Amino acid sequence: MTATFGDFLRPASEHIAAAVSIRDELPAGATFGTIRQFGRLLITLVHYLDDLPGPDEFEAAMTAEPLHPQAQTVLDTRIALRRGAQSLRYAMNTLTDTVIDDSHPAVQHLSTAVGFLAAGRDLLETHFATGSGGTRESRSYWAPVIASRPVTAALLGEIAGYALRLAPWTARLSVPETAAGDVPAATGLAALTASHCTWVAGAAVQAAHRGHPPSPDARRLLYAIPANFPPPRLAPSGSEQVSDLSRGTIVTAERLRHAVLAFARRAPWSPTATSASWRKDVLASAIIVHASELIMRGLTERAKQLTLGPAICAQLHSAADASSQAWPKFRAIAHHWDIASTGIHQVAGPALVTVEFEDLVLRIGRLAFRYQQWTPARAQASHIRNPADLAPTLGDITSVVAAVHTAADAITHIAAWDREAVRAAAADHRLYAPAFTRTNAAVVRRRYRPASPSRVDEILACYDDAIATCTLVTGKLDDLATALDAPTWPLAALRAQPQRVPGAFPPGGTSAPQRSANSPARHRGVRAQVGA
Amino acid sequence: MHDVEALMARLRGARSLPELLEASFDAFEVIRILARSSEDIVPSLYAAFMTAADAAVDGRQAITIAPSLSQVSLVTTPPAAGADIDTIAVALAALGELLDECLARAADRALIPGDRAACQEAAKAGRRIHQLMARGQ
Repeated sequence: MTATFGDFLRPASEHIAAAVSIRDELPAGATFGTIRQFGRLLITLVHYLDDLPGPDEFEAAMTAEPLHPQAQTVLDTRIALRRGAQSLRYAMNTLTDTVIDDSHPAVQHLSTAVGFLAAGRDLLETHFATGSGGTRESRSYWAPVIASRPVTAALLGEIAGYALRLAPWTARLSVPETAAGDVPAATGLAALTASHCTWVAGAAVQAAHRGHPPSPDARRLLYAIPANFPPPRLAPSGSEQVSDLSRGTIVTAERLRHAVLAFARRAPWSPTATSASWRKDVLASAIIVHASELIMRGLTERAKQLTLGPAICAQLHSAADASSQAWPKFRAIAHHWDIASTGIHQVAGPALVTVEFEDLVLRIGRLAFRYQQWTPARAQASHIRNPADLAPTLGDITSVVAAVHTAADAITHIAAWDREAVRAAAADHRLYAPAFTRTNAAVVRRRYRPASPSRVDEILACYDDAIATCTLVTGKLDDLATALDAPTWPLAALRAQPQRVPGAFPPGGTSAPQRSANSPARHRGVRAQVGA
Repeated sequence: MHDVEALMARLRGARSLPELLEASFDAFEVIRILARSSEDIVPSLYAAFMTAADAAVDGRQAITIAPSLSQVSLVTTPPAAGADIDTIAVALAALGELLDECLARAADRALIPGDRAACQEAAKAGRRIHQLMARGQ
């Protein structure tokens, strides 16, 4: 499983709690060790705050307009923690010849907490990259969520929680009764200053959150942020049970989502951006959504058998109906690619997306149909899977919904990116179609010519329809995943955020022919909805 | 399935590479049209027919780049409808198998590298169609 931010926040919080629970008097060496780790911890928290959107201290001072309250809170907290860290740095610089004991449990706990927090920050940073102008650019579907106000508020709440726990405890380090007598006065004073600054930082957030506390959903989302790495490939084995198929589907769909982003960044130069690759994409999408409809119908039936609430049954039924609307749209695109083409290209081996798509087709097909080694071939065709076999328990319904949910989400993203690639190809006059004439009963096919504007519009309109219906499917599955608390519930939250992941098709970049209601301008709204 | 039988006769009777390429082009096109028209009749065969139609496009595209393909217009007669789904599947499997055989043989004999590559690719598509449409053991 991919690591999540919560995997680092939880242990960091536990270690801080363990450190501050130590009430015994610390020996001098351990006091110095604690002060050093406290300083490291404050610097790490400052780095977190540096990453948050908002002006730095100088920009804020130069701005005539008042800052947004959250930006002001970030600024105040950052200034306070930075002062605390500077104070501790001064304290440590005065201790050049001092013996520092790093083995004391308090020091160990703080050191480990710092390690977890630093690793957590690294995890968040995997979602961003530094652009050519030094700007911070999104590199994942999660990046806008991480930068969103609710999640920022949740992160501030976490930082404030640490600060308010650490402040009174670290203040004790500077008090003569609790610290050994050989701690220099300047060091004690610096620790006291840092403790005070830490308390100020925590109090600033606490005050800001008094009227508008971060929502539990935002905190849950913060903990669910995954590392921006694709999970390793899980090749279909032919002996997978339903639970394995569901898990494998989620992994494969997640890999597809990552592949789409990577592909989109290099699309104009990619040898795989051809009608052949788009044709394979819509073929796989048409089969997957068709199988998804069968799966959702089976789950609807099973939910009734298990006497689940009518609301869940209605949602399952609704998702099945939405799927039944979506797969014919993909099939319609496939029919267009029977004729239109970007030309013949020799590509060495299948594209990554094609390989992952083939895995996804097999897994979703094997979920939908009874035969364990199902493939699209007629020889492996079988009856639709029995609902009780598909999902023996409520937990299995949730797992299968999660699988279909991730698959639908990946397909929606791919269709949106492919649509943009097709638009770019058309604008670049790289789309061709054969000319036809009809004579009696025969259709005469002539050599390829550049695709006519009306044909391009038809293809783009088909993509629009497919994306719109697939967005409807994913919306229904978002609701279901939330209602069932499926592991894919964060996808719904991601969709709620406006996506600005830079790719190969910046708005206004390639000028597409703006000639009909199916023009790209019309499509932008859909793209925003699907998060492409 | 008279159209398919006629196409199979054309494939078997082709006396030159251009003739074979033209017959193959038409055969792939007939497979595509028949597979497309059969896609949503039986849910359990939807994936099979969709994929077979896609393989037919692959085969046809491969043929298109063969240097020996005639420059004249190619004629494709829409196949007659009315056959049941099993008959169509069996016919497509047989046509795919024959395309594989004929084109693989042509690839071995082709003198121009472009023809050889086109025939190999198209033969692969024919093989795929046969695998997709063949009845199970």
